Parts: sequence; structure tokens; C-alpha cells
Amino acid sequence: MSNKGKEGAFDRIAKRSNKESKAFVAKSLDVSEQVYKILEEKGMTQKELASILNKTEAEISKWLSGLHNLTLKSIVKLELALDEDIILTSSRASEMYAEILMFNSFSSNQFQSLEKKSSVIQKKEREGNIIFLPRSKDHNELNKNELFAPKAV
Amino acid sequence: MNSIATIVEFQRLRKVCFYTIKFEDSNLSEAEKFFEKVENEQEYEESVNNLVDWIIEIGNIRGARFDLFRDERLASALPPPRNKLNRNNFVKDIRLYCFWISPSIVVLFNGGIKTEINPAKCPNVSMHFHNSNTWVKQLQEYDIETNGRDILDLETIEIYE
Repeated sequence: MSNKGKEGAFDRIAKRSNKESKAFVAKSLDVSEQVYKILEEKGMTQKELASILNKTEAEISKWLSGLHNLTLKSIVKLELALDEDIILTSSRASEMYAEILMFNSFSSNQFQSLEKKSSVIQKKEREGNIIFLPRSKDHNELNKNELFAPKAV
Repeated sequence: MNSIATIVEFQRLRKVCFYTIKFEDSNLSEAEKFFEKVENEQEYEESVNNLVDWIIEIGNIRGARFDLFRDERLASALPPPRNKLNRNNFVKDIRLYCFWISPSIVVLFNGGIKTEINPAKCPNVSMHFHNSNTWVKQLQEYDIETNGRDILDLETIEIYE
């Protein structure tokens, strides 16, 4: 670690401090920074957060010190008080992202594509080459399963 | 006669270069003296380990954001403030005084285990608290130039005890 070529006390301490301790420091800071970010976004003070949680401000300060061993229960309490997720697992984040992606896809590209297809079908219908058109339903009523179902022949 | 110190590189990490100062009549730099001193403080081993982990986390991952440093009059200190409101509520904690120059350049000084709320009254850190503020005042008089990652013209900067 040191650039001096010889190992100093800093390097020895860095070596003896285990991976768990390093990961703990990083994760604690992530949690505490996330809480501060949410507080700032919501215009809430630490005092208000303490009041919602029925805790003293000093206790909340300790929780957010970046060095306090927060339990999952405490994190959930913070999440409920803030009405926001502090920790999001990657699988849950993927699910949420997929839902957003599907919604956006439906409301923009997919919807435009469907409208385009509808006009082609209507044209063919007028020309007598017709097949089918879900006339009875408004586009907005089409559910996602119908949209993503295999094409009717 | 006053001893003269110069700035020397201490730890160059991915995002931050930590410098320290070294007096000409001393074998160790101020930061080296600090870590030699606290290395075997058994009661504070966890705090000492965490402090080094902080420095590595800041240096490699987060960068030396100003809000990760405590205000100690003109000087700054690590570990980061426990919060922005009650930063002095906690005693019996480790303090490493420093001079924050930019998110990628910090000069580390000395420190110790703080046992009083007021650092000026703490037998362990009062001297380091005063020295750090004196040195920061001297350094502020230099128009320290950097290239973003390094302090330029290190040899022209001299600090007096």
C-alpha cells in the first residue's frame, strides 16, 4: 500500500483489518448516505425522523454514524419512517426495472406499433383481405398478455 | 531554532493522494507517527482498523468528499462526522487531523485518542489539534498548486513547528 517500499504501521493495520470490517465500513456508509439523501429529497430533518421513530436525535445520529451495526429490523423501521427503500436486492431491483421497462414499452413503442398494425389491418379489411381486429376493445383496455401474446394468423 | 517540515507523499490511492508532513529532524512523518502510536492501542483496535478502512474506502472508492471530514477550526479530521448536527457529542474516539485540499488531495497530520469533547482540553489530542491548525494556517498562505491529482512544487512548501 505504501509507496515508500517499506511496510509502515498504516500497511500493517490495513492488513490486519479483515475483509468483513472493510465491507462493513463501506456498507454502513452506503446505508447512512442513502438515508441522508432521502431526508434531503423529502426536506426532512434528522430530528423529524427521530420523532417518527420515537427515538432521540442522538440515537438516530448513532444509527447513521456509518460505524453502527444496524440490524435489519432497524433498517426496516427507517424505510417505513422514510417511506422509501434503503436497501434493494439486485433481484428485486431487476423486477422493478423490468416492470418499468414493460410499462414504458407498452405506453410508447409497443403502443405505436400496435396502432400502426391496426391501421394496416383496417386497410386490408376494407380491401376485403381481412382477418381479425379486436374492435370491441379500446387500445387502453388491452392488457399486457394480449399485447405480448403470439400473433393471430 | 524551529524545525522545518516538507510535504511528502503518504498513500497514493486510486482517487485520492494522501500526503503528510515530515520534519527534517524526524525519522517519521506526522502520519507515520500517528499510525505507529495507535497501532497497538488494544482498547481502540476496532476504531483504529475502521479509520484505516475509511481512508482506503475514501481513497479508492468515494473520493475525499468534503462532507466526509470533520471541521476542526481551520483543520479537518477523520473519521467522518457521525452526523452533521451533533458532531461533538461523542467522546473517547480516535482523531486524525488533516488539511483537506480537494476531493483528490489531503494532507494527513497527527492525532490520537480523544477523551474530552473539547479537543483543546484533551491531554491526548490538544497538541495535535493546535499544531494542525497552525500548519493549516501556514499552508493556506501558500497558493498551493495542484494538477488535480498531485501537489505541484512540493519542495517550495515549508512548514515550521
